Amino acid sequence: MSPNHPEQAIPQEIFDHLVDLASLELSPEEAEYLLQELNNQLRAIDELEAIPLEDGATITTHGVHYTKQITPDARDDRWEACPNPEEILAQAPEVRDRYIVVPDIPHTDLE
Amino acid sequence: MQLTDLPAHTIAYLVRRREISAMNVLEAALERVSTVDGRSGSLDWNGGLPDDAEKIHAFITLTAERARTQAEEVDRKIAQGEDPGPLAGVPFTVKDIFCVQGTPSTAGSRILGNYIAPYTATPVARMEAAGGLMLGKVNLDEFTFGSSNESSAFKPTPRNPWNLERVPGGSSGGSTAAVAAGEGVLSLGTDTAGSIRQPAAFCGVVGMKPTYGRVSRYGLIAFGSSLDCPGPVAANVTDTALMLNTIAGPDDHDGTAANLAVPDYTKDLKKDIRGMRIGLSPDYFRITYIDPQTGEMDQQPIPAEIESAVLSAAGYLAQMGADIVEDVPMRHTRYGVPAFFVISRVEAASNLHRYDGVKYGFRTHDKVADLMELYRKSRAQGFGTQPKLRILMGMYVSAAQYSEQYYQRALKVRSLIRGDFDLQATLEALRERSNSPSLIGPSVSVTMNPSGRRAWSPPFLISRSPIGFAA
Repeated sequence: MSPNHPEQAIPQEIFDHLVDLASLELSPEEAEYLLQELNNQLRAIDELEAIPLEDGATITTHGVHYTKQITPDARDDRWEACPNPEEILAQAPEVRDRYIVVPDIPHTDLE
Repeated sequence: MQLTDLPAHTIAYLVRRREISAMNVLEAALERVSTVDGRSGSLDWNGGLPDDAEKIHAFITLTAERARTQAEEVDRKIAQGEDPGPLAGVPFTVKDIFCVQGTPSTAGSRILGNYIAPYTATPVARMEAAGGLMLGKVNLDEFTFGSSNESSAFKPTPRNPWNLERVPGGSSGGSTAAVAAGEGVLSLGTDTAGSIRQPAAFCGVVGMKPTYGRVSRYGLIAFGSSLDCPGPVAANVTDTALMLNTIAGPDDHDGTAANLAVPDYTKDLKKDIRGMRIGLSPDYFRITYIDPQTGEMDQQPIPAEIESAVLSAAGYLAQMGADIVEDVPMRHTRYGVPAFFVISRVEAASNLHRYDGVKYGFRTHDKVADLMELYRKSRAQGFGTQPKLRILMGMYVSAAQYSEQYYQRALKVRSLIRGDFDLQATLEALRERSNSPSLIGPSVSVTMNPSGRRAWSPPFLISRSPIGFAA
């Protein structure tokens, strides 16, 4: 599949795979809407292909150029006590003996 | 006129001189909220009530007791001859995308609807330490994904104080509505693609997106981590500068907060602009948009009314002695939207994976067989449509087989957009005879975020609705 051609934009099976990877469940109506929106946005994004890029064009991960002078030094790697662990634990939906409770975790044997 | 209609710098001045107390100001703000705001945004909204159409609905959470404690502390400091700080007694609101310890910090989303933050965002902590009174958390588009506030899960959503039948813009629409209605004198917003500047223009207030890294993002619930900029919303430029003085600066908790001293931004406010070169770019007078029906990216001229307002602003600046330079090329502006789309979705997807119903936030009430089903149901029920869309798009364009065509290419285009600001032609046009060149145009240009540049939107004129321009 080439993502550069609108007629071959995201097909249903790729969409279903994305939904699974994203750990989502969608109603049929929601899935239909999102698939259409994704394909619409992809057509707009394809505009990027029209931009002439010179060989060796570099990427920019931030708008600001972080020179050594303005880049903060990393903090010392040292242990600090959390001042309020009970407040943090109180946010968990289910806690038992200060452990966060979850349902069964499915395991898969690695081949 | 009530106390909350005064500028922040005037309130702080009067409080520090003991002509009014912080508690006086707070009571005035609470009275204004009580009069104009109506019911707060809620997840339990059951449809509109007749009264809703007459109210602003800026707030999700009102923190009146917290503000009272802070007002008492400011008044105590003044009584004892201590310095209460530059924002002494100034009521402010916080976009509910910032964590504030002990308050619901919801991001306008059901998935964080029950989350009480255990720590406070640096910009909020700095405003509180400066004597500001934290009045409450205000509404926004869900996770900031929108331009109207309509995508918030907390309803009713904010209305525009200038015309209650209109939206306040977004995503910092609760912030700009609250300032425009005199509920909070200042507000802390965020701008990832115009989310401070656009609602500021809609609501006739001043909104500023600082340079990326100028204000710490610690405690900000992230959308696009390389794009998000916390910034001030205020009723006038002096207050904007005063607030930026307070919130800017390095922060041990944010490795992207630039290690730069903070100048006093209020000092240059009355500086003569004679000789300053101010550019107009034809590339800023065209709107790039995605046709909702076809998905094609298109361009059209901005509405004549807005073009006229911006040109009038340029005319006033020329009368004041500025040199207006036309036809400054910003030739990659058109590509700001697709580059932003790709970069922001990849970063949003990455940031949204942490919400899983396990450690905090919403967990499905349905019976589930295992952890994977818990993830799927919690995320499906907790997220609205816009987060789901961004997660799926972000995963697609960063997938190994497409990353070179989309994500890596968008990052290269970002270099070009940033380069527009450094191009020789731009420099020649703007920097000759001036050491502080600027560009003006309509309020929102998405290119300011990929390029990390500062930009702001002061109100310019009121016609059918407020109109801002950007500089």
